[in-house]
Amino acid sequence: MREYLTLLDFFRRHRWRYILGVMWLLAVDFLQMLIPRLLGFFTDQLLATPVNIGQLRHTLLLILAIAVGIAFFRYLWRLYIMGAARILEKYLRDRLFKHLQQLPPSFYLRNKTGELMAHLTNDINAVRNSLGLSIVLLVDAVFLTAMAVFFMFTTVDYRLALLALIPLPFLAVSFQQLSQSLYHRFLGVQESFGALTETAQENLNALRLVKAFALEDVEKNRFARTAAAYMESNFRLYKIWGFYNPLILFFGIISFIIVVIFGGRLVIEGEISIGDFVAFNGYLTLLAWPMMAAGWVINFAQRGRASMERINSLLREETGEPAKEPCQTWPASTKDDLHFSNITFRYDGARIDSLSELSFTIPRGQITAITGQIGSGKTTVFYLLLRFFTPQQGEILLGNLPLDHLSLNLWRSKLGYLPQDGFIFADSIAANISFAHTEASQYEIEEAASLAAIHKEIMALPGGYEAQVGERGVTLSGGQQQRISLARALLGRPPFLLLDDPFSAVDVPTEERIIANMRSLGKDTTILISSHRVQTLKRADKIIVLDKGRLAAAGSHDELLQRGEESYVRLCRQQLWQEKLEED
Amino acid sequence: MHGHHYFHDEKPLKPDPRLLRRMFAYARPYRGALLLALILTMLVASLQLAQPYILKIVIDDYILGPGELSELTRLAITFFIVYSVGLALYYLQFNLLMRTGQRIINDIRRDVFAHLQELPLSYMDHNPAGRMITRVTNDAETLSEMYTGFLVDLFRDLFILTGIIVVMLQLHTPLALLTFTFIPLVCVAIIIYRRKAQPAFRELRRQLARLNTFAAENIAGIRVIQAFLQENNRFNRFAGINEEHFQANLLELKIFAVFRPAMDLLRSLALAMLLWFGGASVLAGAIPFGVLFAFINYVEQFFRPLNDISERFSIFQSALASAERIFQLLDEPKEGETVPGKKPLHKIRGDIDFERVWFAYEDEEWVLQDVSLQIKAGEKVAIAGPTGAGKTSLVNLLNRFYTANRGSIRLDGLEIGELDRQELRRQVGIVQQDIFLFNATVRENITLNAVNLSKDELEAVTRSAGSYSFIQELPQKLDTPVGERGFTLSTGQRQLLALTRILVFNPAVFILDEATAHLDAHTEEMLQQSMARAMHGRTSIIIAHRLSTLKMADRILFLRQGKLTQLDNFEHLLEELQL
Repeated sequence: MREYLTLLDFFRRHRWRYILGVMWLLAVDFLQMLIPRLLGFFTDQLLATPVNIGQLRHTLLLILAIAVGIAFFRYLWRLYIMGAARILEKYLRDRLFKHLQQLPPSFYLRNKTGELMAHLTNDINAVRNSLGLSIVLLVDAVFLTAMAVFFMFTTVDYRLALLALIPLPFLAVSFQQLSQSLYHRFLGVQESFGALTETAQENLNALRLVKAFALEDVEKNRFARTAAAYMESNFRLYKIWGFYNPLILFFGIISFIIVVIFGGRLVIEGEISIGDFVAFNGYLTLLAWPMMAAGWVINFAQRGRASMERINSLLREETGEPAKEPCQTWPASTKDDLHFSNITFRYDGARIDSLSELSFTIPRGQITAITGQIGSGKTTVFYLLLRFFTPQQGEILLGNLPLDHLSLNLWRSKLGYLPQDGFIFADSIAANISFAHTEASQYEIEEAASLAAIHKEIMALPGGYEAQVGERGVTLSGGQQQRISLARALLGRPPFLLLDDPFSAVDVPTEERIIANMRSLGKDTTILISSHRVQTLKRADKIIVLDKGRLAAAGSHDELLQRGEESYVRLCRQQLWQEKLEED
Repeated sequence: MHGHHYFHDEKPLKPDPRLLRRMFAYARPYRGALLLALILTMLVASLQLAQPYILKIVIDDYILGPGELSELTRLAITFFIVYSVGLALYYLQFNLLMRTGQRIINDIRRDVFAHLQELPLSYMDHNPAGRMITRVTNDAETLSEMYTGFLVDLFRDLFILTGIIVVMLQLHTPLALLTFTFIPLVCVAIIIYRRKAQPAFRELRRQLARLNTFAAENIAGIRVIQAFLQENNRFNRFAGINEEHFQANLLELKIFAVFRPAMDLLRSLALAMLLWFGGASVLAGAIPFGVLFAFINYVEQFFRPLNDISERFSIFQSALASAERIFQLLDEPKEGETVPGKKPLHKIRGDIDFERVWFAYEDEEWVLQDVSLQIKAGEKVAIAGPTGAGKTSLVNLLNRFYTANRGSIRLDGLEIGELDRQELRRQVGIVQQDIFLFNATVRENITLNAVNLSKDELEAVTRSAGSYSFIQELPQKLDTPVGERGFTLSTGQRQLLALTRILVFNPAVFILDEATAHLDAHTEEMLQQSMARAMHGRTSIIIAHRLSTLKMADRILFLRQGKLTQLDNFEHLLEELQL
């Protein structure tokens, strides 16, 4: 149960809900116990000579009153306990989401979206069930059993009770066994369902290959095998699951037979009344439910614990802020250049360094371009500048101030970033542009859009700036997405612009205009652009050429050509050919 | 834009008889098993019905009556034996039914999967893979509830309800009729509940979908959010949606919290009425006490299936929705049917002839316009051109991924539309732009589990393809798992594996859709050798991006805006590129 310590705070705050809820539940359990006894009294009164009608009416009204009480308290415990579980669901989801937001990108490299979504949905559900329904089941299992047994012993006949309850311990033991293997087989089913999903997913991703090599039959067989394995795992589950109800009924019927034979004799011999016999039967029936509940409790609790543990391990993940004493104010050295000083970086679990012993300078107020083949480390340079990751060796300096001496938020507030895929949110275009500056005026938004040469196109959309992007809204072309992302980065005129491949889907004349716009931002804006395009590279003040994470060359386009830097010339020739093809 | 679709279009469904008929068609092969399960179900249910009746006999005939105690014992033991046998049958019934349900679903699942294999690529282009996966997995799973949970359970419930009614009528008709006056009340309660619960439930689903969509987008865009310091803003919005979800959750809870106790109360009322009037009958000597006692027990039993019916309804609805989605997919027309053996392809030389071919993905937006092209067997043709000019479309027509709108395409003089599709594709080997590797071993990725090669043959073919040395360096050589959880291979290595596949499958025609990725000099050189091997002795069409690849071709064609021209002055063009 240690897993649930994470929620201690929640329980403290909502303890009265739970305490009261359990009290209402106990009230229901108690009232339920009275009904069989009253039915017994009713029977005896009915069969008595002479019959006392007033007494009968009295008992009947009592039964009715208790029924109303049961219904009322049932309503209450549902509201209290199940309600608490739903508050918990909300609380836990908020908390987990908030935490996820603060986890560094290295965490997201390790964890796939699908898995994280599973934690946010399935695991939270399982925890909710374990702290709602299973509390109810637990209380029922313990108290209903105890009370039913108590009433059997005290109000009817202890000998009959002893005899009738002989099967109970056997039932408990066999149930314990049953739910253990049931749980394992259930996990087996989940696992093979996962395999089934994976096979289908892989197949659909590979569909072109499957068709091209006429692998349809091979794939059908492969799928048939996983599907059959899934079916078999279900069969294994059913073998155990199938015992569940028959077992309860079996032990129930043994008790029933004992009551009929032995209880019947007691009545005939006058040891107990016929009403006692009826009441006893009622208690026996009531016992069936907690028996079933006990099995479910174990199941729910096990699943809830496993899910809680998974959530805990997420909550234990450390958030990003590095341990150094960060400087909270913007130092005077902002006018300085950015230096990569002997940086070596390797992603967690990677076999090779992404950047090795890399040193270069990004001069302030200029446009620096960074280029190199795919996988040469361009995007990693951006990630380190954003402080998504920390290099294992070397440091990034702003002037002579190590970057990680600045507080993370302070540093990031000075950046305008455009990611490689130009991520756009399902929201209005205006909201996308003013993403980081929700207080921005329409004028500022349009100004940023104009700088990114997208204003006119936005105006042409149905709804203009208020047009919704995404599933139910407008569809944007890749180039439009890139330029809206660019406008988002430009809004608020941050002193550092980090643009990861911003023009890959933008045509050359538009690109020219955008670069001219950015030049007009003046000497306070330092710009880093990654690109393959010779056109872009030519316009940069300085080009940094990366090769497998190392610095291959640096300098302006003309300088690099003059020096005949082989890596750069090769890149340019290939790229020029590409651009030649694209020309009209 | 980065849509993770957690939305299911939720609309109230009326059972469409055609849909039901198709669902039953899948159950048809198992009708014997289902019938047996049904019979067993009824036997088991009869025992449940018998128990109160036995008690009635015990009370009236033995406890209150003159019956012998030894006879009572015999009766009890007989019932115990019969009941135990019944429980064994119950176990069998459960397994039989559930297994049959799984078998039916397995059939459906396999059909859906097989159908997915045969759908044209144009369908795939327009439908996200995630949605199709759900058809095979979750939708099929939900549907299984239809066969097991719904069908048989409903039948059992109806059987029990009918059984109770019959037994009660038989025991004492006036008292039974009196008890039945409660049935309309119960029906009204259920109808009211459904009216309230259904929209609440739908709203809850909608809010959940919103919540999940938002969360998924957030995870996908986490870098942007963190770079722009928007963690708090995004959290506040999430918390807002979470709150709305909570409110919907609470409403649903409240409705349910009223319904169940209300049903219990109704049952108690029925019981009280029964006790009052039944008690009067007992006093009047019209019925023995045991009958009243049996009635009490039957009323208890009567309410259980009624309570379940409301839950069955939701199951039924979601199963129906899943069925509709599944059958919609199965109704999608397949790729042009193969005609096995119509024009068998024995050994192809590899003459290719495109004659005045027009092609558009969407109507009239021509990707290829009047393209004519003859390639002689063994010739190596390179196609260059800007992105979006139709290069990939051109080769996609040759292996019938898509069908030309006009014109004709012939292989060795045979119209490709008349050839067996799979046979044709086996003869046209392709290396695609982004190379797909299965989450399997290197060996399986080379042979694709479709070709059996001995160890020596594999060695020979990998040596020939130039992939031998890098495979030898992998930790488990050919048995090294690649892909998601195994080794991640470099772009160059992936291409080497794809080229090795070509040598393994040995097609007459070789198509290479070159990746645009920039490669370092060493990798480029290595790949060129492998490409040369793959081209050797095959008609080859290379969609080339790299200058070095173009040089390997006999002939260079230029495709621009869907029109094909010959490129003659390639040498001249190269000179122009001097910086």
